[in-house]
Order: sequence, then C-alpha cells, then structure tokens
Amino acid sequence: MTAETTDRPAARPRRRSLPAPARPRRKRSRWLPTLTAYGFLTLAAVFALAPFVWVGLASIKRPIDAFTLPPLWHFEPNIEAYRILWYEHDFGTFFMNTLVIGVATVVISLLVSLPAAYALARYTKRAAVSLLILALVFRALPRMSVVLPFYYISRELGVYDSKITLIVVLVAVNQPFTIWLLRNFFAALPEALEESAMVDGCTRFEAFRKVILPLVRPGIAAAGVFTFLLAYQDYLIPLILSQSNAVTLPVFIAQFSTENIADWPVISAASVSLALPVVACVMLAQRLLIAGLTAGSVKG
Amino acid sequence: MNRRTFLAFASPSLILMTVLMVAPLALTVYLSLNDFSYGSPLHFRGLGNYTEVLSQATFWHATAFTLVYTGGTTILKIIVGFALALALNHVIRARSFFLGLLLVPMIVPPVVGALVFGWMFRDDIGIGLFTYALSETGVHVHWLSEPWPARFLLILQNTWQDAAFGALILLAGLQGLPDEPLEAAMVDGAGWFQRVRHVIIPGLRGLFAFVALMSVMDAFRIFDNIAVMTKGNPAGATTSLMYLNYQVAFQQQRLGLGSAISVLTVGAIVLLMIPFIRQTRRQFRGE
Repeated sequence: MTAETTDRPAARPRRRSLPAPARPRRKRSRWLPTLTAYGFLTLAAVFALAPFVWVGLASIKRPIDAFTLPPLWHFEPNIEAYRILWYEHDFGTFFMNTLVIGVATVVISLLVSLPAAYALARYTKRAAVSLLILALVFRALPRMSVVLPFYYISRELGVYDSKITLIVVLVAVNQPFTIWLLRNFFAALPEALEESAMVDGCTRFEAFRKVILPLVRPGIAAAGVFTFLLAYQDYLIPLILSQSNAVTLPVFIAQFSTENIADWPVISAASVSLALPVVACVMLAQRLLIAGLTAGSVKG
Repeated sequence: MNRRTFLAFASPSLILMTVLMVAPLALTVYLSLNDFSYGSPLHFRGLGNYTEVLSQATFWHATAFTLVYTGGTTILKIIVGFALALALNHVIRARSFFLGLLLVPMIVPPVVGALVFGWMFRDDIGIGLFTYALSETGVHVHWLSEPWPARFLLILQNTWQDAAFGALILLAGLQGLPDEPLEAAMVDGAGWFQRVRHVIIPGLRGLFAFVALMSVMDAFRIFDNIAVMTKGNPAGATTSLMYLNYQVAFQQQRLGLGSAISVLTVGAIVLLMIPFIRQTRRQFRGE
C-alpha cells in the first residue's frame, strides 16, 4: 500500500461522494443490474466466510462429530475444545506473547515513524526522495533476506528466542510501511498550519507536536491498527527467531496443526481464538482499516 | 523545511533503517559467500554458493512455480477485485455491510486463513467440506496430492484472502471517476459492457497498475500458505523461492546457500520494481 500512482485521472478531486453511475440509469430497467450486483456480492461473501463458519462449527463439536461428512448440522455444542486449548496447551502464554509483541511493535514504530514521515512530507529534496524510495524497496523485500542474517546475529549475540529480538525485527521490517502510510496523512495538511504556529513563537518541534499531530490522529490510528495487524499476523519472523520463550500464536497453530490433525476441534478452537479478537476489533474500526488500505493508492 | 530540521526529524528512522535493514542485508551478501551452519565457523567459498544454486534444478523449478503463482494470483485478484468493486459501487445501502464481510479473510492472520481454507479441500480425513460437495456432483479432485490442483489451490487461496484489497482500491477509483465521459457514452448509446470497456477501465489504469504491483510484490515472497497447506509438496511442485530458501537455510542448515537464494530473490524483486521506482521519483520531482 505504499505506492502513489498518480499522473492520471483517478487523482482528480474526489470530494464527490455520490457513486457516479447511479443517476441516469434510473430511466431504464434498474432491477436487473441491482439484482446481479446483490447476487454476486452474496455469493462472494458466502465464499469468503464459509471456511470460517465451518471451522467455528468444528470448534464446538465433539471430535467424532467433527470428522463427519456429510456434515452433521444437529449436534450438542460443547466447549471442550476451548477448555483443552486454554488449560492444557498454554494457549494463554502464546496469546500474551503475541499481544505484548504486537503492542510494543506499534508503540516503537509510531514513535520512530511519526517524525520521519512528517519530515518526508515537508522536505522533498533529493535526499528525502531517495529515502522514500529506499523505504519502498525495503517494503517489497522478502522477509527471509532480513530474517536470515538476524538469525545469525541473534544466535551469535545470545539474544535468540527473546521477545525483544522479535520486536526489534518486526519494527525494522514494518517501519517502512508505517512511514509511507503516515506520510500521506501529513502531506494532506497545508504547511501554513505549522508556519503560523512558528510565527507565534513555537519551535518546529512544538508546532509538530501541538498543531500537526492532533490533526493526523486518524492517520495515527490507521497506522497503529495496521502495524499491529502486521505484527500480530506475522509467521515467518517468529518461526525462525523463536523456539520456546517467544513463540507466538501463528507459530503455535501452524505447528500444532501439523502434528495433531486428529485434534481438529482443538485446532479449530485455536484458529477461532486467534482470529476472533482481530476481526471484532477491525470490524469496529472498519473506517480506519479502509483509510489505511487506500491511503497508499491515492495521493494524500 | 531545511536540511538540518529534516535530518533532526528523520534521524531516528534513518539510524534504525541503517542498523536494522541495510546492515543485515549487507551481512546477507557476505554470508552468501560462505559455507556454514549454525554453530560452525564461516568457511569462505567465494561464488560457490551461487554456482551451486544456479545449477540446481530445484531452484529453477521454484522460480518457475513462483512466476506461475505470481501471474495467476495477480490476474485473478484483479479480475475478482474489479468485479467486486463494480458490484459494490452499484449497491449503496448495503455497501459497508458487504465490504465488512469481504474483508474478513484479509484481516485474519494468513496462517489461520490458509489452514481453514486448506481444510475445506482435504480428501484424506472427513473435514474437506468443499471436496465432499464437489464429489457429490461427480467431480473428484485430489487437491493436495496432485501438482496442478495443488498449485491452483494455493492461487485460489491467495485470491480468496486478498481480493478484497483490490476491490477496495478500485472502488475508491470508481467513485472518483468523473461523470461526464460516462454520461457522454450513455448518450451515444453505449451499453454497460462498452462503458466498462472503453471508459471505466482506461480511467482506472493507474490503480490497476498499483493493485498489480502490490500483488506481484506479495506473491513473489509467498511463504505462509505454502508452509501451512502443502509444505512444497507434492514432490516439490509447490515449492516457491522463499520456501526453498527456508528449506535450504533452516531445515538443511545450509545458511550460506540460503543467503545466496535470498540475494538472488532480492535482485529479482528490485529489477521488477525499477519501472515503478522511476515513476515514483518522477512524481516527487514534480511535486
């Protein structure tokens, strides 16, 4: 989501919020296209959600009922799988690891990225452009090329399998993205704002902190949500840089599902437990998510 | 803003990127010239790792699969994303409802997404709901044990997971399209299909390119869904470059050889990105 693809029509003023093609069509028959659109979207939504429904059902079935095809629709729901997961498998520890790592990654990324993104929005000389392009390239790099040397370094330095190492690597890998996202929000603000504050006697930093930061609060929220998601979802980095102390949920689930497919209801319960909190949070903040996703594509 | 202020604001980030990105990447290049595993000392090998990688059939198979996967997912995601965007643009009241549902596969951690999607297609134990439904209609496919079905399944999984991103971007684009050309086309008697073909698609060209670029970048480093769904099988048919890299570096503990694969992949990605980098630079110069 980093790129800016302008130089072309879509960069035109987009204040018009009414969907364009709706008006003139009214004269012709309009039930057929509407029906098609609804039908297609319903089909797509069913396809998008079916696997989750299937897994949600499995998580409250007895193992013997879960492995039954054609599916058993009438069954006694029970939460045995969740009990096993939380009481017999240390799921809580992995959950806490994942949360702590996610929150720390967000806080550090924002602290470092906010001033940098602001500077990049205001200073457009060659050095700044090169830095932005470097961030773009970093964003595109395969994680493996960064994780591999970190594996070597962390073992040499004896910091392998620690949460702090994971946080450091996650910040490093995701910070370029955070910068690009935030830069678009800063660039949308007129420079006159902080100039007038500086005329009134603020330093540049005070103007940034007191005038600009409050105005980009939606951007900060969107970047925060996104950085958290990236850290929470990451698999490769904790897979390679952790062994027991810093194992996160995605690593636990992937490994557990490979070794114990017979415990399908428990794996299902783990999947639901991992997915539900983020889905719930993001649905509540749908607007932030969409702001974050589209921020890179259109010029701020 | 002058240079000094810029540096003051950007320096934490600059230092971080230098220490945690540039230095490790440089180290990868250095490590790729050595032969070693964890715990053993480095053993300088020159370009030996590169000649070894480039002469291995597995490397070229992985490259070919990565390209097939990248092409397949990008094309599918653009088609599905565009269709979804058109439909979403048409419904008004239920738009955010549908958008919310369609975004779910994208928000769920990819490991979980790949797991739950993959289960639908299993045929060995009684959990493959989709395989079962398909076999009821008389079609029997072994999704995970035959090369092309397995490859297609991974492409399908990625489309399922990420198509909503393209839909979102293209929907924003559709809403920003000016009315006049569309109205003019309608006055000229253009049907729906002709309007999409001659007015809407050209108007969104830049956004199509953006969605494609994001997709290519993500597809090229694909790892999570392979690790969860196929582990590169059957017989290496779904081993991507990054998965091969993982196998070589961490399962076979040949870290130098793995570094060489990393360096080659990074080179390929940077090459792919050059046109895009040029465009970005031009755009900032013009600002």
